[in-house]
Amino acid sequence: MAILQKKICMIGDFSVGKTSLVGRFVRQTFSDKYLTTVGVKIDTKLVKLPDGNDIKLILWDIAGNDVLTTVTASYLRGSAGFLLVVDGTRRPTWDSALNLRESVAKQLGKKPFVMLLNKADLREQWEIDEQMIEEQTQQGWKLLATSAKTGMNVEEAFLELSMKMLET
Amino acid sequence: MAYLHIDEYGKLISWGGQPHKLGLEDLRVGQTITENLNFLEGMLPVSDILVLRFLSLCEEHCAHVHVIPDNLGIYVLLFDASSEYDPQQQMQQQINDIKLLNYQKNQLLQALDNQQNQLKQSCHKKVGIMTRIIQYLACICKKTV
Repeated sequence: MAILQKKICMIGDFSVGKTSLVGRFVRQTFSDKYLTTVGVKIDTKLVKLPDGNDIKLILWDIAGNDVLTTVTASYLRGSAGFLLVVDGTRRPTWDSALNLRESVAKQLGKKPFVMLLNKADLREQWEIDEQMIEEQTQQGWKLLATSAKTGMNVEEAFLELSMKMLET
Repeated sequence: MAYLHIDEYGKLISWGGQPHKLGLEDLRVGQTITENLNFLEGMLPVSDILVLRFLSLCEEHCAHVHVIPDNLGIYVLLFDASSEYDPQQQMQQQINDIKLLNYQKNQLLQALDNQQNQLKQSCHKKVGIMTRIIQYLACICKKTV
């Protein structure tokens, strides 16, 4: 039987850690050096879900931007879900994420997503407070504090989205 | 450059060019294309031409991908964009680095501004206290004289 495949897009402003999260998830690697992504990088990973089923995730690591451009929008086609990434140490990336989520919803329709508050290893420098998180949680959003550096919640984030995609 | 011709059921009819140079190996006529070309998962079918710029399928190579619908199926054209990638990456890196530095500068200026305001408030308080002490001492001196 063919393994179920699902396309996931990594969305968020530049330098929030999208590529690092994919690197940690797929290759268990991390580098402190920031290297801008151009266009989109494709990666795959076979994931075993808690129910025992396998799912092959096709990861689209899209170049960061604070708005959804026409070029970016073309990358989203066929996506089953997305990870919305925020740099906890830069408040404007939170605002970008909220705007991007709206644009993506217009483009893709209602698709499952998880918001990742990345750089949790720098929590003392965060510019995002509990109230902001609480407000989004109350709207039914799933938010996870992640760290590509330490690996905190990275696997969980992709698993969470996989489960959400299979529920829909 | 490479091309792939896919039928309406998503099976590879034919291919040509140098797909291996773009990271596409083991192409077989008749295979379901999404099994080999993961990036097409969810993409097909298309009703209009779809262009995916700077699509990196492997570490070394990058392509501009054009997905073109046709009466006989779908054509996927892959143009090697590896030589364009580095200059584009360097330019974008510089832009983003400047944006990050600018943000850090603004944050530091904001912190400095806050500290200055706190310092001013503290100075005002200090002056107020000193004034009251002087007035109090002056009052005592007057009484003594």
